[in-house]
Amino acid sequence: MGTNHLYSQPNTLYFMKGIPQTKDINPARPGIAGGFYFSMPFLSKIDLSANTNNWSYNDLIHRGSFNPLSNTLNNTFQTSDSLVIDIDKFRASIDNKNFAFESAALTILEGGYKKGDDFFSVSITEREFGELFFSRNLIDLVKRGNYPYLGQTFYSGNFGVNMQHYREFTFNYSHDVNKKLTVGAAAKILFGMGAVHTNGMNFKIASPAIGDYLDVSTSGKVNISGPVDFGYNSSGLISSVHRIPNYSIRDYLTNLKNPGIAFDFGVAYRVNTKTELSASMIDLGVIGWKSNVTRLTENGNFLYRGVNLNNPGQTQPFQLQPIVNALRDSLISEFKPDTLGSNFATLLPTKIYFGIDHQINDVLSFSGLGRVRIMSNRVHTSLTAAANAYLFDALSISASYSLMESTFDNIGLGIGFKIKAVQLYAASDNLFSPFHPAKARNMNLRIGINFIFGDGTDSKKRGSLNPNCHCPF
Amino acid sequence: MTKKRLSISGVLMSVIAAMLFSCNLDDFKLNELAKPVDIVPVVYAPIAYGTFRVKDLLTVPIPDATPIPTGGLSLDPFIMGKTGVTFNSIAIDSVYLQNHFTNDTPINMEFSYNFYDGTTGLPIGQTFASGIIPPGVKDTLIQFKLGRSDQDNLLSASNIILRFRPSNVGNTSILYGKVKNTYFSIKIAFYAPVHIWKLM
Repeated sequence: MGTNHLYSQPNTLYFMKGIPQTKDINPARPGIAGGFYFSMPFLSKIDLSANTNNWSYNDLIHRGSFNPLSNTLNNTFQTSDSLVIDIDKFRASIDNKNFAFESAALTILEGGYKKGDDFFSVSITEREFGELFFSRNLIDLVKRGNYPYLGQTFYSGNFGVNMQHYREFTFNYSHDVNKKLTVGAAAKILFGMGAVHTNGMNFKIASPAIGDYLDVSTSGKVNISGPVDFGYNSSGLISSVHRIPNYSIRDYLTNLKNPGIAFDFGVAYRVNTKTELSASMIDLGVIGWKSNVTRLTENGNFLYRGVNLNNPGQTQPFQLQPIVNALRDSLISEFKPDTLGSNFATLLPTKIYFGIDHQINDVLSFSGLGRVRIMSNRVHTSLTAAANAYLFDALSISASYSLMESTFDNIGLGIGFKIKAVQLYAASDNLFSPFHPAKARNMNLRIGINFIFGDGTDSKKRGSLNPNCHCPF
Repeated sequence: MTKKRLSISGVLMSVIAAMLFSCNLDDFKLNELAKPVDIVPVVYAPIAYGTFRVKDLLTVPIPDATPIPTGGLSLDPFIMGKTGVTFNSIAIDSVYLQNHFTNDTPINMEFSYNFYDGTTGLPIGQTFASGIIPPGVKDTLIQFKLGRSDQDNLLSASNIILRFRPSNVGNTSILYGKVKNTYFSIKIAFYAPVHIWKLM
């Protein structure tokens, strides 16, 4: 029904002190000891993320190297000034199953209040994510063609896209059960804006060694919810895609016909005065898509042998065109997608976190975070270790190192600083990837502005703070 | 303390700004993409197939006792009209025509292709001839390369003529009656390297 890729919030954010948005990763970690906060409207927080399974843009497209002896068909020399498509390098860089993922989120408004043992917050966030997935076999087919596969069965592997845009209304609550234990949860009302979701798309081509036929089979489903209409030709094939007439951007942004619901759960447990264990599950949810839905399914099989020269109905000269047309019509008929019923549902990407935080002294702590993702019946993990400090009563810094998606070069940084009631924060799990996005395999960034009042960060009140606040001290 | 906080704020904002504006996006300028692109997949597809009995390709029957001439027996040509069908692409420089031939006759076989102008009735370009195919051979491969000029000839031709010719070898005399009810078959396919960049 959906993808289970993890996305968006940097792991580094999990450990930062005094940032209310840590509740986004674990609702049992509200980040303030008391008082209330609200975020800058439309700049409450911006989340940007992009990652692959250990291949980068430069593995496919990069600057060429100058070769004065190279003389291509058009006398064009590959130079360091030109970009080249390097399919061999790309193919060597990818795994059997591959993906590219991006996400973005913009919180329009957010505010929260903590008094005593209870913390409440509400927020409105616009979210989108997109994923492209494909297998190495598909790249081999593009690179080599189908001729090398004579005598074999070529299997494309599953490929497709999954994209969703939805609006999220979140109510977050946490409660300090006792001095050691805090539990939290969030309930989210979702409204889907648009989605494209594929499921099980693949094809096979089998042929004998002498290649006298190609046995082609295809299958897959595509579900679309969005302001688009498809035009069909006389053969029943999609011939055009166009926007629904008189459907404005306002209509798109105020579409409430695709409701959904999601939940977050979290727990934080202080083992002793210095060590805290925590765990959370984020975005356990589903959206039902009902408006402007197009659903297509494909399940075709065709044994292609070419033109039968023994056709008894033909007289000399044997005309190829009607036979080719009949062949084409048979192919179209066999591989024409069928339309299904009107509704479909998609799951949200669900994330599971496990964390440990150990306070060394009033300034410094060390943390560890494990993130678990379950995708296609396989378990993927990422690990992050961080050192966190709170300096000059204003500056919260977390420096992290992460192992993610088979990449080992993720050095992250989180910074939050507060002047009076104004707090600015930013966090990223890979500090250097934004400098060279073409080389990056993991990029994420979270920035935001909060206004925090009455949270007891005045140094005179330190001794009375709730130990569960995950505050700077 | 406030001055220190402001100083720290200023430094950090400067660092963040430097990061945001130092992003190197040169490699995303796809208008600088060099050509040709080194992606040349080889595409294969069957074209046609058929199994023929010798006597079915003789409009004018001959007596069974007629020996097959040493120079071969001309069977009726197989004329394929290709009007409305295009076998040409700017992305393909050479096409390889693969013919898997099975000779279940007791005699040698040959076949050949010619492209013909439907208006003048004259052949265009070269003849693609298989050479001798001995009896009893199964799915033997005879391959022809069609270069750019051959593809142009095929494009301008109205008909493709496929001729089959049984012939004798040496001094062995074989009578038509022993050949007429035997079969041969051909499976025609093509493969061609496709220069993707020419389609871009």
